[in-house]
Amino acid sequence: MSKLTRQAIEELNACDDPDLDVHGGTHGICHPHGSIRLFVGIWAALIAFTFLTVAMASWELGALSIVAVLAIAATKSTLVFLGFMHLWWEDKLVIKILIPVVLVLLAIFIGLTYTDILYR
Amino acid sequence: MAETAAHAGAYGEGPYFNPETVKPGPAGWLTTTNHKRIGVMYLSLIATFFSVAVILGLLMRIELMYPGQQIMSAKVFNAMFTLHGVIQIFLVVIPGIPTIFGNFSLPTLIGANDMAFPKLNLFTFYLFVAGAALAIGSCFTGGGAPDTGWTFYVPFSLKTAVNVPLATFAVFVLGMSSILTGVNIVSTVHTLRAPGMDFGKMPLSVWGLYSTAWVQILATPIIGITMLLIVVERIFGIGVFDPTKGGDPLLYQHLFWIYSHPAVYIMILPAMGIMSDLFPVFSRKNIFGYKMIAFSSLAIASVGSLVWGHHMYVNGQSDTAGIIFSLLTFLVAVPSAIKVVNWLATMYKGSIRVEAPFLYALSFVWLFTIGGLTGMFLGGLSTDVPLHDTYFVVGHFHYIIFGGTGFGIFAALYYWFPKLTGRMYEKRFAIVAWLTTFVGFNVFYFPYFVMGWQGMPRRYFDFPAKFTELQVVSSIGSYIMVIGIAMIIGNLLRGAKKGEKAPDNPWQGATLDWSLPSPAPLENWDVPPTVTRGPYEFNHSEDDK
Amino acid sequence: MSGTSAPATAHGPHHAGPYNPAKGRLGMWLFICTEVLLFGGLFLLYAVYRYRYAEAFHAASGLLDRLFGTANTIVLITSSLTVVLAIFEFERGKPTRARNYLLFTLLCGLAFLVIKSFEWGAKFEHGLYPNAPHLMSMGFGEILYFGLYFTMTGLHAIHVIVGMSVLFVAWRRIGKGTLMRTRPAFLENGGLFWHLVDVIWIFLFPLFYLIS
Repeated sequence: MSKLTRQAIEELNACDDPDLDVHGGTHGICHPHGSIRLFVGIWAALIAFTFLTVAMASWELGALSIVAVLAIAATKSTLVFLGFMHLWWEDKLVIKILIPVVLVLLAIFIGLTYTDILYR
Repeated sequence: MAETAAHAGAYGEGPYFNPETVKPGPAGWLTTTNHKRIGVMYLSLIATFFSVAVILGLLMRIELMYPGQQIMSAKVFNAMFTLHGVIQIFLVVIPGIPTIFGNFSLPTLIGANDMAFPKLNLFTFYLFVAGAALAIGSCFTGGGAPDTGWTFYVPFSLKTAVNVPLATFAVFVLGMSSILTGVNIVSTVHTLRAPGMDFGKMPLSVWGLYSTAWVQILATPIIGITMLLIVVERIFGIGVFDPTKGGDPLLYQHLFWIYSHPAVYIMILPAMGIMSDLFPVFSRKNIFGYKMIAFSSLAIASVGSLVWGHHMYVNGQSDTAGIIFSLLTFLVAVPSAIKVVNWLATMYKGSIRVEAPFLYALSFVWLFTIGGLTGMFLGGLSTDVPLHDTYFVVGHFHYIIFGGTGFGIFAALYYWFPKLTGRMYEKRFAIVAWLTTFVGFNVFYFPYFVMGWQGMPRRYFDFPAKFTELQVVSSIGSYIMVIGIAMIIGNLLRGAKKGEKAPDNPWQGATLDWSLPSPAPLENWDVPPTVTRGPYEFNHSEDDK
Repeated sequence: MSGTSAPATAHGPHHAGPYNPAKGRLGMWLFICTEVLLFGGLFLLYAVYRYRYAEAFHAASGLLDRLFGTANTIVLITSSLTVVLAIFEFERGKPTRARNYLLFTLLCGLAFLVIKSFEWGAKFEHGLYPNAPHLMSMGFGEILYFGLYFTMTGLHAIHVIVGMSVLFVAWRRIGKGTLMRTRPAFLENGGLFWHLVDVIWIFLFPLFYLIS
């Protein structure tokens, strides 16, 4: 079973082989995207946002604070998705739209639940 | 099919179940990554579970034939309907079509040689086996079989002494298996279609499986976390569903139905897809409204994911939520009706050929329509108040899920039987078996609408004497239906062993699967077929012969 | 499939149909979506209970140590950087550097778990754990806050452990030479999973630590 588990994980990981006739051009997950400078830059921005959000927690923003805090979290995760997770270079449409679709769906789930919570 | 020439001599290995070309014996089956063999393993397991659950149902009908205790105590009855529900829902109808025909037929329908991730596919199968083993094990360990009903509603499921944690964990594991099935199907459809097979040329059964797979991927995680929370709640007492700690039991119902309503679309959508393949084939006519049927599958999948609140009208949910969910519920009727009307229009002026698969498809439409229309009563806010939790719901549900999905699975089995076994069942007997099942089904479940209307609550072990007549009728119907099912299974088993050899394309279908020999070979195509025409353009299919 | 006499190999190029390198990537992203929704169910619960018990959630959040949370955020973000650099170096043919980056990532993961365990330990000492008498004597809001806190950070920690295991296998396979530069998807998908773990923490951190 454990061998099977490993094989199953491996299988999700077939990458293009230069010997093979690659369908749809040589878009490479095997050729590195981005640059060290870019990734370090993203990292610096993420750290900066972290300190900003911690600092903001002590400002008296009232009801606005949760909005601000979530906006920063959303920005940070967008940076991770586009940069670290390479979605910026993704050329397959279905992969590109997956995360937005899922987030919209989750928002609808929460929203429809709130039609009960708010008016009960 | 342009690829016909490529067949010649390509299948020296012989049929997919030939012990000479694959590892012989059980080991060869249990370690296979071949999509057809995995599909057949699912089929045999699911058929077994189905038979067990049918017997449980039959025992309940014997108990319910007359007032008072007949053959079991009330406590055993509670365990019976829970087990019947859990097996039929989680082990039969949810995995049914996506695992059996999603594996056996899907690659052959789109001109692929296997699923996108064959090893993951085998791993998924073992997750299913593990989940099933846990579910069955929960009946015999730690306090006995769950008595909560398949819905595991809190706070009762947190308090009852029986083995709820193991059963809910089993559902979690089965959910993972379902998710991975969905991942495999979506990846297969996106990346392994044969040249020329664009999305507009896919058979509608593929559209059905594809839409279903999205629901499996996007809805199942919610039930996964909900079931885990029940386990965590029972072990650590975190309080999120426990009203004594401020938790809100209604939130459990929200999370449960966010998955479990879309789950009924996981059950019915792929069956609808297969029906859309059958009507053109047996009417010798192109499908009426291909695009609308394909689109309505996606519409049902998406709108159907947003209607879960209609299970909670009378449970204390806010009126605002009730109105919104009721509106969304009625919206789902539109794409469902589109399908029904298009199937009827496909048959209109067609050259109908009455074969067993076609009869099952016809009865699918009839039963699904009754189930759908009675769903309207339950979707309405005011009519649901007297009807909720009555036999009316049970009748509605079984008309949709048994009359729809169940008959859909039978239709698909009869339809792909030549590819599965290389043989043919006894056709006359198949029609008699169909008639018996169909008559028994209606005699069995139609009285449920009447009894529900008169106020007979569901999940009750006993009933007042005034229901006796209808309960007797219903029980007799159930006996007839079970005889019919036994005839179906017997005929198929006999056909698999001794039936006459089936031709490659007995129904003159135009989809790619029928261009393969019967029984299907281990490897589908040496050279990927090139698709030049639609799945229901029959005017060329005579060339194939 | 391990065909004894079958002449054609099961995974020969002509059998894979039109070859598409996006296959494994698509599968992994679909899996990531299911993970997002798995946590999504918990975020739904959080949203509702925070709305119901806003005051108590603020008060309970004050009982968490913001220093632990901030430190862990920095650790995890840094590990995310090193894993993406590991992939970058591996794909341009620098396996030794890639392994070093991976090792650093694993150490970060370990550091995260150690900090987490100190934090949980402190909570246990103060009687702030599910069903603890002290916690039960507080209000519903506090009970639910800590119920969700332990469930969500616990599930997250399990994901950290799974991610570390996958990256550890990648580290070993690069060392043994069984992970090829031309087929780095095991590493890529392990990285994707690790970033997902990071993204979830990016939301958990403010929602639990920064709302007092």
